[in-house]
Amino acid sequence: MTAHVVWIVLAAQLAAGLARAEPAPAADRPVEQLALDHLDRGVAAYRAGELVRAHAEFAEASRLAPDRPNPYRWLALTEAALGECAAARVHVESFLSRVPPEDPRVPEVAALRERCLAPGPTTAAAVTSTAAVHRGAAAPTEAPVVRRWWFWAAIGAVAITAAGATYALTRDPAVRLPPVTCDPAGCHP
Amino acid sequence: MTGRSRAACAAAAAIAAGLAGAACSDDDPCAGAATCVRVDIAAASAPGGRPVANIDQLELDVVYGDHHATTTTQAAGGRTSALPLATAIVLDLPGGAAVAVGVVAAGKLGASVLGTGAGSTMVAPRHHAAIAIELSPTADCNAGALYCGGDQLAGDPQTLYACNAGGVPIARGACRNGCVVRPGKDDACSGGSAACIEGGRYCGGDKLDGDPQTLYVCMSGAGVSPQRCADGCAVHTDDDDACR
Repeated sequence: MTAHVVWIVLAAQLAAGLARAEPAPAADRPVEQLALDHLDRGVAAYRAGELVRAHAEFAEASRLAPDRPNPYRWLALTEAALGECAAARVHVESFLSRVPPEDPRVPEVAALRERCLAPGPTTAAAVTSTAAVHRGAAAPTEAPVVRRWWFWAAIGAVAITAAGATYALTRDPAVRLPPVTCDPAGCHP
Repeated sequence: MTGRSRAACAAAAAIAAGLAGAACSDDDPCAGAATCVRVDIAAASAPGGRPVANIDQLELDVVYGDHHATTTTQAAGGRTSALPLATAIVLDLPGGAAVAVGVVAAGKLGASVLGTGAGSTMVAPRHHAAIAIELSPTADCNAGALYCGGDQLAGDPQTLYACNAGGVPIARGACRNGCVVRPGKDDACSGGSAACIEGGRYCGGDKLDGDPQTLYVCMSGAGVSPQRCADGCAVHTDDDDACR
């Protein structure tokens, strides 16, 4: 029974690994894995907004696995976000040439190409558009406002300020009597 | 910095700002004074009686260092003030040593003493200190008689006071050797263990029992022929004591 469970777990892990990696020859597996590691780090950097570091990671992934399409896609996305549409267009073509037309990522990358071909493709507008493309297809959608880091801090600040103001305005004013001054000659109000 | 830590920092800053705002709204009666004792006056619970609720005058008997004075403070226009309340004793004294400050307070309404209380503290120059005093309904003391603090009147147990029927007990002086409660007659400052010299003159509390503002003649170890000193009694170590 235990042996069956071990085999099932191993099979599941293998299936997960295969699903994660793109098809590759068994002999290239270590290099492929290395490329995937760079790709993962690049995606994390991209999502953290560290585009330069992301680009370096994607470039290394592409160098290690030049036949794989996904590093080109991420390179294109990153370059578009950096405003480098000329480079992005090259990587768009590299990606499209390596995937079948029905690949679900094609519309996203094609849209990116269209935006880069539009007038003023290296402007900030292009970057913004690219970021929109990224948000819509390549990365998790932007968190709602209630999940932004500053939202609950702001709510807390407003609540505390309101509580303090309410306290200050409604508490009984402390009764103060005039001070007395005591010197060697005596005490007097 | 991660989003969570940024949120934590922002929340902490907001809380700090809120607390600072609340704290700043409580004005200190000693604010702006160099050497000062804040005095908070509250009503003591009075089992079987009514606690002091309102006063229109606060009489203070203050012993500060070697000095003693009595004064009165009241709200503008003499209006009635509800307890609790606060005032300040600002000290303007030469020297750089910390001084002991003893305060007996009497809360009055319509010239009647409703309650008395006492407290003491030490305060260093250019520092602030605080005393909290609870006013308790006054016990019956005989006007003009002398009592240790806590014996029929409010005050420091190591200080001798004169009962003042119409106001705050008046301190006669701190007792170096302790205050002795003597049922049936005036309490007195203890003369301590050293014996007085026959025929010598001594302030009360200096080698013979008595009032520290009265000069006595030593006779058989006790003080006789009391002479009240209008400006206090000075203790001399190598000569007879004398009125100032």
